[in-house]
Amino acid sequence: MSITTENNEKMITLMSSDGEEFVVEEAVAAQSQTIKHLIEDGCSTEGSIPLPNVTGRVLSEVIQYCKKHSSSDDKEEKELEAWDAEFVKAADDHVALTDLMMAANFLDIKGLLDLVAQTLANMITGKSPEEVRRMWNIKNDFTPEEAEKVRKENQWAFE
Amino acid sequence: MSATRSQSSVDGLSSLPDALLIYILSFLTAKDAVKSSVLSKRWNNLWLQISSLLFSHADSGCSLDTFAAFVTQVLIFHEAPKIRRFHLQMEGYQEHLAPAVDEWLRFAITRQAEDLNLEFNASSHQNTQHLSLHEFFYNNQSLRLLSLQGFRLCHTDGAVCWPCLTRLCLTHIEMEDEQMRKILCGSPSLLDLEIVNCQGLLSLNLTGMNVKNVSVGLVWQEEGVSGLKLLIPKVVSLSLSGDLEIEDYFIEDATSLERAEIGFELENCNECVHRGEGQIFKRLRRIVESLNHAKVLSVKSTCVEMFSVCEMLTLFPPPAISHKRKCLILETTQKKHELPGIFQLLRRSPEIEKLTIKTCEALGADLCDDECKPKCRFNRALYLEYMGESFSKLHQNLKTVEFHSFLRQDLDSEFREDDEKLQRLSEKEVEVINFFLKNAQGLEEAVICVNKEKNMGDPKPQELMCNMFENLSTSSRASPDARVLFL
Repeated sequence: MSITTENNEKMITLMSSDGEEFVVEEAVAAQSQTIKHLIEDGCSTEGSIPLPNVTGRVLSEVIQYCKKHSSSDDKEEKELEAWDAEFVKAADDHVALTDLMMAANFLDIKGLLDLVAQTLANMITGKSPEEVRRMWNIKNDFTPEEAEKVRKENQWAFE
Repeated sequence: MSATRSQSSVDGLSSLPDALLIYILSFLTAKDAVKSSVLSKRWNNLWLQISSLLFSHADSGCSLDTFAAFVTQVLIFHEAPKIRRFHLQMEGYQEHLAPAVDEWLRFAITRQAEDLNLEFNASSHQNTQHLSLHEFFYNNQSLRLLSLQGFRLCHTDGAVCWPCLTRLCLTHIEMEDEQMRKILCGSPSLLDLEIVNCQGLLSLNLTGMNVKNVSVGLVWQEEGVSGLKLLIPKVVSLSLSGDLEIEDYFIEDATSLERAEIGFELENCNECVHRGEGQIFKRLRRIVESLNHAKVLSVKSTCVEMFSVCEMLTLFPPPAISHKRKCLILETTQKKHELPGIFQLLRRSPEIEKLTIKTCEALGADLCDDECKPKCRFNRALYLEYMGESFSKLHQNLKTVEFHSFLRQDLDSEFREDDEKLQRLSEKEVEVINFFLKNAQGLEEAVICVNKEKNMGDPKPQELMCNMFENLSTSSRASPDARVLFL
């Protein structure tokens, strides 16, 4: 269902996988290419747009990001960058960044996808393999022989 | 890990599909990406598919030859048929690496890299490296962003063909007009052009091109000041910076210009102010006049200071009045001796509807030298009062004043601890804002950017903010309906 507000802005209802509803301006929702295409295909006329892969908690973060980025055309780039950095730091306290990344990927919001990917990449930068495994709970499933072989193969990268 | 987190955070990165892990790896330098291969079986071959190859010699901490061997090795293993970014940063360059660099570039181009970055940071005692880029480099259908740094761009025989190139950045590049002409000729989609610290260019002719944004800084010649001629009839936004002591600009055609920014610095300010009978000021005045039909003019603090010195010493007549200018953006350190410059620029912009004043940090020494100082012994408050009447008569169209307080930026720790300094700066700001509230008759809105959200709860900035707010809410207004917004 689309309703309009006082400023004639068309509103869209988004429904998360756990049934939470979010009413947002169309311009905000259209930051997501996926939703934009759904709207263009007329999928928003019969009620809310269901987003079966995104929980309410994650969706609420995503909407925050979209709101900022749909209203900041004439803002200074630097300012937006600073906002992004703060946003992703705060989001990390509420939801898993991996969930946020999955959502950004599914909803096709390139700016958010890049922001989260860059943040996760920064966490890896300069760390030893052992530290990375511990941080991300990655199980080392190489047998000692395999590990030795892999290490030898990649010796050139560790010099 | 907090208990409220969802299951996937417990699994960490492993919950993501391969495509997204590869996406993350594509943000790492090549070295870190390759290292991920030893994490686990799943990770073993992921890096072979990354879409960005970012090679940074500075980060690697190894010799040039070891680094070169590493790059070659990565490119042998890498499998993705297409890459997006190829960035190569090397500390210095040696002749014997030429075949290897050629090979790498060939790799980047055959994998259709869109974003290519080639950076050589030669140490200062070395001569500029001459890098001959092969014909294949100049013929590239996928290139969108190109950034070159730190070498002499040799002349090519063939034509340049970069049909999709939209952004070109040249930093520390030595090149001649003819090569630039060829590049521009072969890049019909170019929109953004940035030329910083380049040597050898005498003219930049963008006639017939669609370039919209141009940024030029420090374009110099081996001997003397010869100046760069700019023909930019379709350019919308122009930013000029550099050192007016060693460079000059002649803007011959800038008819579409809407936004102009001047941010010149003076390396040896005290010595050069009066040298050559004020050549530097004459240059500045001529450049500003040639930007007179831009709607928006932005002036950085050193240039504001230069206008101030001119005004105080009455060295030359001020620049011609611009009737096209609707918006003026001025940076100032809020020092008293910058006020005459601010008011000179305001008088030369009688039609402005919006004025933005940004408090910035002081860079380097004051321009105001011994000769100026006697002229600086005016009282700040009296000066502002004196300026009030002529200002309010002239600036009837001024509707918006935007004021970027120093509170908007992150204060460094040294500054924060100096309560007195903060207090003084804050008072100066209030004085200036009050001036506009008191004298701008047509004012509709005064926006004061203090970064309210961030400073809330931080005792000192909050106190300053509250004082500012109190002070301004009781001050007199020329325009009773003017709204004052704190952001």
